[in-house]
Amino acid sequence: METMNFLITGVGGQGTILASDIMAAVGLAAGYDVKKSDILGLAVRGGAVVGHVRWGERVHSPIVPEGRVDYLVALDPGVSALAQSGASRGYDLD
Amino acid sequence: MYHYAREIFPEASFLKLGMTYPLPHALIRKFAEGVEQLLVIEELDPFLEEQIKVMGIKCRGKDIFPAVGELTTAVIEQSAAEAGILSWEAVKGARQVAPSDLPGRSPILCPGCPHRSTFYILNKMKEVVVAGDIGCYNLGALPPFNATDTMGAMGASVGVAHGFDVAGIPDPFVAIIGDSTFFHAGIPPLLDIVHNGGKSTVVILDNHTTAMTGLQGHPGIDVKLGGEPATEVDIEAVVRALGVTDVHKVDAFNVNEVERAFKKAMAFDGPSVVIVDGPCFFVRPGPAGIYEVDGDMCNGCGLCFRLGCAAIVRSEELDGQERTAQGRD
Repeated sequence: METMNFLITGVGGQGTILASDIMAAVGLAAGYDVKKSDILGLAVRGGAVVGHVRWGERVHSPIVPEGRVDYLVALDPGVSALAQSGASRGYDLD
Repeated sequence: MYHYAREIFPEASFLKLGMTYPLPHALIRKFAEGVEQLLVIEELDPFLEEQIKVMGIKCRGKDIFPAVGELTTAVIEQSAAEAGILSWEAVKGARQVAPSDLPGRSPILCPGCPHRSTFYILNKMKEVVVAGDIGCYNLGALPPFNATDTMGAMGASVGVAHGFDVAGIPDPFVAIIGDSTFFHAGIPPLLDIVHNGGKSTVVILDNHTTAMTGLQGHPGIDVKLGGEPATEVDIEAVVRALGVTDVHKVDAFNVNEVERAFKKAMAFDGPSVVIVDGPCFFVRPGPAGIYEVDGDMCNGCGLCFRLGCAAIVRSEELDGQERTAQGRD
């Protein structure tokens, strides 16, 4: 099977990481090989938060390869638009 | 990067090296003998590639993959396709370029942050070059303040400012450092400034914690990293012990006091230290508590938006004009 790629984007406080944790747990419970990676840290200061979750037979990269998001859970329109374009891994400091 | 490469070459054999100096020659040779083509995927310099070639083993590396930047999945895939190692049909996924008018989601200083006064003032002093350090005050580099010119490592700002001094740059300059970073690596370069007759102004932003990484303890407060009690070391005493005589200690929440101290310290013909004292909001709110905008007094001038405080928002009833919350013009 092709690896399923989920991207959850938001800003601090919206539950982005919680959603990412839940998605990973569901994938494991469903019997997939799951990897996840979150970009957090500046959430408290109003920055972007992005959760990458991947379900597959054998998942290598924990980060969804650019341009291969299958499902985008968008909690904040601004961050999500940036993430959707595939150009940004999370936030831009400029 | 190893995992990214495995995404792109799912059928390939991989040798992943944990220890790269000295190189495990026999291991590499054995692996090379078992494959038709050997690619070396490493970031930056062809450190491994050159040594492997010197061993007499044929391999490819930097003729395919770039020598700068992160080797993301997309970069590995693109480079391999351009080199003809992967077919373009295998390169899936759209590579869209982000529309340039999308706003970034930059982090900002929290409402109630004591650093805000410093960067508000430095932003006004447009000719001052600011050597920054690592911490929450990094956010002073971003809009609306745009008040940091260099940013290296923890403790770097003091040394950089001394360098400006020794190099003789014509512009006025300051170094910004935090309480935690001062103790980490800011003391030796401050000693350098005093010993070498420098005239730098070092601003120590004492917010009584190590905020950016999660409010850890440091020698300037009475708790250790894990929360155990520790001896509290006084920054002013340390600075004076290092030989700095022009020391100003001001209240971070008194903007005028901070500004006066900056000006005096920068005018002083010798090393100066300004300690801007104000607790991080997560330690406790500032001494005057929490402020509210007085709607009756507000004339809608919008100057408050230049503070970049997320708690200050436009009021529909009081101010009908269009403004952005971060005060960008």
